[in-house]
Amino acid sequence: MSTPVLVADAVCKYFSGSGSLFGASRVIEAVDQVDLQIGASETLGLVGESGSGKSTLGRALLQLDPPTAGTVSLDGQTISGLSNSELRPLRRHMQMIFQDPQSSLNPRMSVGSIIAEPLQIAREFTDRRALRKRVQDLLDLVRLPASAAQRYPYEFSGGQRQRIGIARAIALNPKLIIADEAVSSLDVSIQAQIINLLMDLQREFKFACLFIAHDLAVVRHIADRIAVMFLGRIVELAPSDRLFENPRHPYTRALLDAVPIPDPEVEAKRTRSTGPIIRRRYPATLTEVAPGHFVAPLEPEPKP
Amino acid sequence: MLQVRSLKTAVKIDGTDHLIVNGVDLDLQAGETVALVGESGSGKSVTALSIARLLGRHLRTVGGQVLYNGRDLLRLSERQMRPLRGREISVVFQEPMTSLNPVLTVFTQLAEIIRRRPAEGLDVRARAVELLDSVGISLPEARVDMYPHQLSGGMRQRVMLAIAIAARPRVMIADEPTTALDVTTQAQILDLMQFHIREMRAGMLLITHDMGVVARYADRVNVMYSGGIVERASVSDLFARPSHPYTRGLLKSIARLDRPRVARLPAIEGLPPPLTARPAGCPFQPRCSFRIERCSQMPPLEPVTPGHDSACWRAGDLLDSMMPPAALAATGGGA
Repeated sequence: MSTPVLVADAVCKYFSGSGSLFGASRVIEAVDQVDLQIGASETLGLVGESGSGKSTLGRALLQLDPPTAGTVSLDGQTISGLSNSELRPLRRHMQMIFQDPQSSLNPRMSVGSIIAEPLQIAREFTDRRALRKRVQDLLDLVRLPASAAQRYPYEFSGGQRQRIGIARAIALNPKLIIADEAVSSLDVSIQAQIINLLMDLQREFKFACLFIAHDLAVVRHIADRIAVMFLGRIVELAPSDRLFENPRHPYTRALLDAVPIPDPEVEAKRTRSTGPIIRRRYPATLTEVAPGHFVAPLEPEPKP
Repeated sequence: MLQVRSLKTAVKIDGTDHLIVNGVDLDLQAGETVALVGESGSGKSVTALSIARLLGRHLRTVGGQVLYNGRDLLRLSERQMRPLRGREISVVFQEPMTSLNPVLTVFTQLAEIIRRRPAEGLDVRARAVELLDSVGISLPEARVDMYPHQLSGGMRQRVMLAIAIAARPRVMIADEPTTALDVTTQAQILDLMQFHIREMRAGMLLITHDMGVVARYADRVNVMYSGGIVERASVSDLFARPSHPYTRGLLKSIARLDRPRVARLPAIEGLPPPLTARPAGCPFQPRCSFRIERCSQMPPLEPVTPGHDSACWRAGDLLDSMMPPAALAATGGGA
């Protein structure tokens, strides 16, 4: 990997819980000591179950909810600890694609205005005609007809709305895109269309991508490397194919075993572990067991 | 045991009836799991709701029969239907929070069902705890007294399952029962459902969009598209020899963990037709690379091989093209 676009070093995000009726308020370590690097043109998949902290990590990296501790840098520049006004000019380099395009697009704005908005905020175009041309080009890039610009989000299907969200995200040619469950709410046949689109755009614009999802098959397809998150920590990180061929951590194995394979013959022959998962954290120190393949200790931490 | 014949359910949009479910036939035998798969808007959930007679105000079944042990459920009054629902026919939905009563404890909700089947020496509380234990709830003695909001999503879905099996139903209708849950929880709950279904010799109608779940848990499959069943077969036949272009395209467009990565997923291009503008003839034709002129007439759901039906004029061609493996790889499901 050349110089990484995104470097996260021991990133933590803690929330103070309301506390129980008895005793002091407790601190929830939603994300704890996460190290990550993503290079240009690279997609890092981030998988984990709900509550594992993967979305919280995504928001902490983008400084939407700044991390409690640790540093994040974008293209060599430290972005954690900056004030909002210091961050503002950097925001254009990092964009997010959300799960539900229905709720992330302003229903009162036309699709053209939605896509033009980041360009206008960044004062990218002073000439209205040039701005309109750029919006048309972006619609074309996400394979929507030019006529879409005058229409409103509700007139589109879920998959089309996700294309609008993607057009907006790539409008300023960002260095980093974080896609948080970007295809999870779409039907299977539409998912494939959007995944292909994202991969085409990345090939063209070479952005680094953090692809957060719970669907392991989708992540394996789109990601170069995959990080498995469990209870706020990374338990395993490896190149995609290697992770699936040679999972080392018991939690990764449990996750892979649970995924049903769309082939009854394969399913009939499969032996899977069906026991409950130990809901205890594993230590945050990762060991490199093979080039690029990092694993947390296989024994969970003792009960506090 | 359960036979659905020519079921038609309509929704009123701007004063006009549109058929969300347009002539669906289904059969469910005791002890088997039959999957109904399709994408959002295909009509699979409305089919389930129509069978259980749980349609809201905007939906209305306008034709067909739902025969349960020879009685047409669609002709029963709500009063006649109520004792059947919950006792003989149980329904499990995707979001347990909306089907559990938030102001009653788990025990109260379970006890209501348990008392419907009075037995001598029945200890309702012991039975409730036993049921929770059987659906994999740890510390059942404590959790039986909790309210739904005190439980996690997976735990609530387990409670729903406990309620559904408490009545020992003959038919279980499960509408995306685990879609909202994590994959490890999903596997545990579906394993439990399958165990209980087999143990009770009940039949399960499993509604899902997940072909992996179908492959793991179903005996037979019905594929729905745009309000109708386009293909039905045993689970092994359907995956080995998909004989409708939609099924074939769907199976190819899924990223798979058990196969080498492909550079590009073969997506089905285009979108399903909107309810208000379905094309005449085969609803899949605008997206179909096998389309011929005849597709402007609706193809009937007919056998391609014994026990395997497809609603495609070219089902025979599709099946032939599949014989040599090279041909399978060469033909695309989408345009």
